[in-house]
Amino acid sequence: MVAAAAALAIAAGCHATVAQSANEPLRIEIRQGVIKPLQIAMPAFVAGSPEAGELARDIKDVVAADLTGTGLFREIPAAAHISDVTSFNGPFSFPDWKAINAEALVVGEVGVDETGRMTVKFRLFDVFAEAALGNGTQFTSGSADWRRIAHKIADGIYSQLTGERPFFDTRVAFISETGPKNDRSKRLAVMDYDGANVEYLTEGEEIVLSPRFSPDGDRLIYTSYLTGMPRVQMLDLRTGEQRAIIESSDMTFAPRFSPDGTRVLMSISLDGNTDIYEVEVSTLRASRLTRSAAIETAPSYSPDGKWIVFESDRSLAPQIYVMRSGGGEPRRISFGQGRYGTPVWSPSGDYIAFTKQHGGRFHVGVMRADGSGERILSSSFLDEGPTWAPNGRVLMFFRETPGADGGPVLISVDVYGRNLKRVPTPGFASDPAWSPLRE
Amino acid sequence: MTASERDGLRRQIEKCWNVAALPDEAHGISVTISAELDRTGRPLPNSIELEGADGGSPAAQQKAFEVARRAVQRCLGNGHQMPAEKYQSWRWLEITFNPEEMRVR
Repeated sequence: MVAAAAALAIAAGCHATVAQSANEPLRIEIRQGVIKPLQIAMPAFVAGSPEAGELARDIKDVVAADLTGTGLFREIPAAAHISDVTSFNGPFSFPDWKAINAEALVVGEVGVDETGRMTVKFRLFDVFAEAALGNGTQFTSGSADWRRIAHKIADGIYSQLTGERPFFDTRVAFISETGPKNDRSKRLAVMDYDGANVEYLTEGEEIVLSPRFSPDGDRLIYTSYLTGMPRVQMLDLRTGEQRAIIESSDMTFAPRFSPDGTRVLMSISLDGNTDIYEVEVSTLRASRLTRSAAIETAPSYSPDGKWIVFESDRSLAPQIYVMRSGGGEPRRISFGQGRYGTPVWSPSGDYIAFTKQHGGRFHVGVMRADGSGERILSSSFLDEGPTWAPNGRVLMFFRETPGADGGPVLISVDVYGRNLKRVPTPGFASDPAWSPLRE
Repeated sequence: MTASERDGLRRQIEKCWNVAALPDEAHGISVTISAELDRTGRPLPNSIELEGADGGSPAAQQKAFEVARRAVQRCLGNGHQMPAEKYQSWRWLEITFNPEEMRVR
């Protein structure tokens, strides 16, 4: 009877009174909101000395580019600012920042001493709460490190505002490609995640593929064709020392470190049969993990090291399987239409990224570790080779464009398929591998 | 309070509840916050508190609370037209932010 009366009142457009006892709060439920970039104000960083002016501008610009590059933040243009910030310690006129709808305010200061040492400080404020978020941070370093410091500041702001682990102070290994399509020179290269500071690690006299970082970021493993056959190599980035992971005349490829860095998974092709092996880095002892006549490749550990996801054509078309890390009976987890490959477990453990070929196109997507919740993030003539940012919220992959002048470029996208964009590289680039967060 | 008066308030706050920057985990967290409003409909300073949260880790609950608090502070920061004669019935607010219908699947 009560329900009927309420329905009648609403249908008639009447001012229905909802029961509310005296001294009780007014209770409402919000079920719909908005999804739009969070508005952030970043007035010019204060220069603590005349020679710090250019650094202050450059650092602030990189911080802003990192944050807005996620698609989660929008920087309010300086022309719209009502207030200036002339002192790192304030005071800050919050009403002026509220008036332009800034939700967060970033204040920074850069100083350079007589020895060239740079000190960078930043603070973050919730404008509408008129309160600091976190304690702010100070970095001291040589001024040559200004881009890293900027990424670290952006990491701090990103974590504070989103609650997610950061990913800006990272590097990406990739294959730099030059020359005509039928005679490409391929060099192993690394760069900052945003395309800056590119370094070439090989000279291009050999074909190189599939670089992967060690969990501490100090080593790279990759596949080299220096001898004409694919062979997994390990490169120490601190010393430049290079060696084969195992001495074998068989084809070794598709390497991946274990989460603790003590083991490497790879495919070994023996007498025409490709299986997955695990190699102890310290002893170079190899254990065979799969035993089937099918091609088993592209293995990747779960972040807890207990599981391995890999690609196999044991059910004719390539599909994705999961098995225990010591081996055992694999369980197929991909059941959608098309061919699945290159699975990579997210650092968060919740998703597995993959490449899928279906309908004459290639796609990069993610699925839950049990194969449920498949979500396609990209689609093109050729999208391939996903790699995860260390926070498990952003991926990078490469996209090949067709035609004689076509070539691969790097693309990033978030785990929801939003904010898909090209990552700048000096030329064609493929096979990206994201590093862990730098210390 | 009439249903339309409640709806007006709800719609006002919805416009400011921006879940874009919430961590993935927080998209499954429902938070309830309380606030005391002055007679113009503005939240009193420091009156916004977390009453409860359902799901997720404490850290993710804290982020979900911060986003909810920001929504109230932004959209009620300039007040909200409410019937003055009913001030005692809307002076204390309890708002539940439930993101269930906004989750990316």
